[in-house]
Amino acid sequence: MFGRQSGLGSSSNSSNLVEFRAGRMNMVGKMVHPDPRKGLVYMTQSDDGLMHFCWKDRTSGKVEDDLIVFPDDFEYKRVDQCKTGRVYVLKFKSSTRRMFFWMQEPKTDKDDEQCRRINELLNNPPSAHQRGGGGSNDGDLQYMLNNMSQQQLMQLFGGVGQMGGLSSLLGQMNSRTPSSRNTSSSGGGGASALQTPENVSVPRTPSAPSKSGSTRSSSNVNSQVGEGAGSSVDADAPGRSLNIDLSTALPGADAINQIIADPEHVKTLIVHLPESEDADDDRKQQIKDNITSPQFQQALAQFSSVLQSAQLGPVIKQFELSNEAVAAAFSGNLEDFVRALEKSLPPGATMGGEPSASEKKSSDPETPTSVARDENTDPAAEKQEEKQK
Amino acid sequence: MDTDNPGQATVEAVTAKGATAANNWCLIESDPGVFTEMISGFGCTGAQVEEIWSMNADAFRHLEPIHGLIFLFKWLDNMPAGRVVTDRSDIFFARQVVTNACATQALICLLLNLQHEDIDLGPILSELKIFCQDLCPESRGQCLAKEEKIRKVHNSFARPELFVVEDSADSEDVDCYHFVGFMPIKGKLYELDGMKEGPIELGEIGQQQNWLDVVRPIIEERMKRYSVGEIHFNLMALVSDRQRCYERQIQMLVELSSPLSYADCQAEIATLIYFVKLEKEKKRRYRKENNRRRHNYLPFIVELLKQLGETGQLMAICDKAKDRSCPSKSNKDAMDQQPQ
Repeated sequence: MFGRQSGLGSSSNSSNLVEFRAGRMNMVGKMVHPDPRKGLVYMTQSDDGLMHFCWKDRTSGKVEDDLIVFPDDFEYKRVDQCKTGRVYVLKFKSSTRRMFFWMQEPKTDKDDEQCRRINELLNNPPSAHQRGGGGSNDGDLQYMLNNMSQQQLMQLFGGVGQMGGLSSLLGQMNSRTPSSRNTSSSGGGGASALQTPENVSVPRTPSAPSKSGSTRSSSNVNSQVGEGAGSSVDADAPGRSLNIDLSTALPGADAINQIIADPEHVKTLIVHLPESEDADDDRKQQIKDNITSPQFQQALAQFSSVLQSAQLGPVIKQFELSNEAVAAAFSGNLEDFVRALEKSLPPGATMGGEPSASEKKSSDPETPTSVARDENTDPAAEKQEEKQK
Repeated sequence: MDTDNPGQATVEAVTAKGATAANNWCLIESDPGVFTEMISGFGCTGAQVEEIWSMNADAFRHLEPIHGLIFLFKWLDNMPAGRVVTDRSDIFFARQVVTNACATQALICLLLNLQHEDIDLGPILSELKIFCQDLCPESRGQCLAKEEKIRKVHNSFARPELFVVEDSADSEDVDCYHFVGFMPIKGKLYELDGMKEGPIELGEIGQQQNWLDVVRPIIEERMKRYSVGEIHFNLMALVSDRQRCYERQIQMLVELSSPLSYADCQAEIATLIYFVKLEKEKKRRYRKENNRRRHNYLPFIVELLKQLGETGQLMAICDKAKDRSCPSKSNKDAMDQQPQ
């Protein structure tokens, strides 16, 4: 229960202060997807006294996440929204960033304890003295503090405001009273009584009231934990919340002006827009107005996020796009999807508008080969195609 | 299935499924344009919702008479600011039952307590008022939640969802938003908060007193308190239809039934005509925005992306978006940066 501590000051795995089997989850826009790999969440203290929160792939042995955690910067709690799995979130207090994990320990009985232990270590790291096995009074006190529950600590220190970091931690956890039901996450049942408005901070951007129509930023946890849908999007290991949101770059791009300079493009686009009240509203302006509207931007942001959550496959399939594009939609890879759209026509061809991209492919003698090559994901061929652009 | 619009059918199937599930009220945006059109969707005429940015008297004098205020914030105040009234069935008060409907419910509560010549509730709301007259607040809340016609209008402002979101996740986020109404009823100021047991009596309003002078310090105090905690809030006013008001005033001036000189009358008429024009533009803008809210942009997005791809410009846009979305590799930087 108290974790294993080595007095030798080594940084080997056996000196982990807490560890348990858990998998990562990757956040893609609003959705969170489980990474099916077997993993280990653990915390350790390096020789310089800094606390590390880590995740490692148990199969490859590779440490993929190694965060230095300072007291009061983080909070670790259970995600109640997810009813079917044991999902926990590491919240960064200074930003809206989140890291999610799902428990892989066969028995659930230590879940709460592990969670509590993580929080204690996050916010009350053992002093360096202790690791040397020092018998000083300070060391003992620290050791004891590390292993008390939040509730016990509050009783010891007399309530809100007296232990700055701790009270703000509790304030954070209760910021959504009465809807917050997370009393299990810290093992302290009495926490809710300590909430005061002054301790509240809003970690998320509110979406409902703002006119600019910002997208909801809450993470919706995919309740089917363990079924590993779709591949994770991130190419960069630390960039866990990598989500490409096209709405941050598309509206206002010069490319739009170029597109609508072509009347054929305008003709094809206009049919998909909401009806305009004025019959003689300039069509080009209509298209531009829609694209820069907050409603469209929200829709595009949602599109980006849903595609990357690998849920748009069946819908995209109905749009007569190339097989590559459809495959990319099924696998939730936005960059592949974009690449597929850029390859739809041989360079230099003009857009006729009527035949679908896939129909064009079969009639064009050059493209079947490129389709075959792409489907074999021949990296050399891909590189060539990229150069052609 | 509409083969010209394949995305539409799928979206419709998904949205319909959501909407017919028991008591499913969709999440809607809290926007004056949404609320104004929604009120008329209920069949109520003569009312309008305007957003207010400051409680300074001058800021909204031109909007008077103000029938009620709606305060939206992301916090739940556990302590009522006054006496909770449980013995007045003549005040329409309903307990909040459905989270996503809290704005609509706050609005309806205000409307059903109004007795003003400018505003005609219309058959749907009038019937609801009569039906609920003798019911307790909980039952009224249930009634409202089950009112099909109202729910349909409310849902018509929801964005078409491309996929069905987990119900529990939805309510988790929406739980945080809270709407309360403030209005004068029979000489007293009340706060109507669906999460409380009954209307909260906040104070007396003197015979000659403007009720806004009584509510102002209360709202200002809350705004200050929420600013300290960085809690986002919105303030909206339920007012009489502006266009009608101005047109009525023009009418009076045209008939020369005003003490002003002829020249002043003309100047005033010109100003009012300009205000009417602004109101018409505003309504037109609301309609456009609401059409866009309801519109399924999926086919447009796919077509646009296709065209950008075919002209070789999509990758550059995607890369730019990637730069803006991607947290930097260093851990410290990632901690500092807000991904959104």
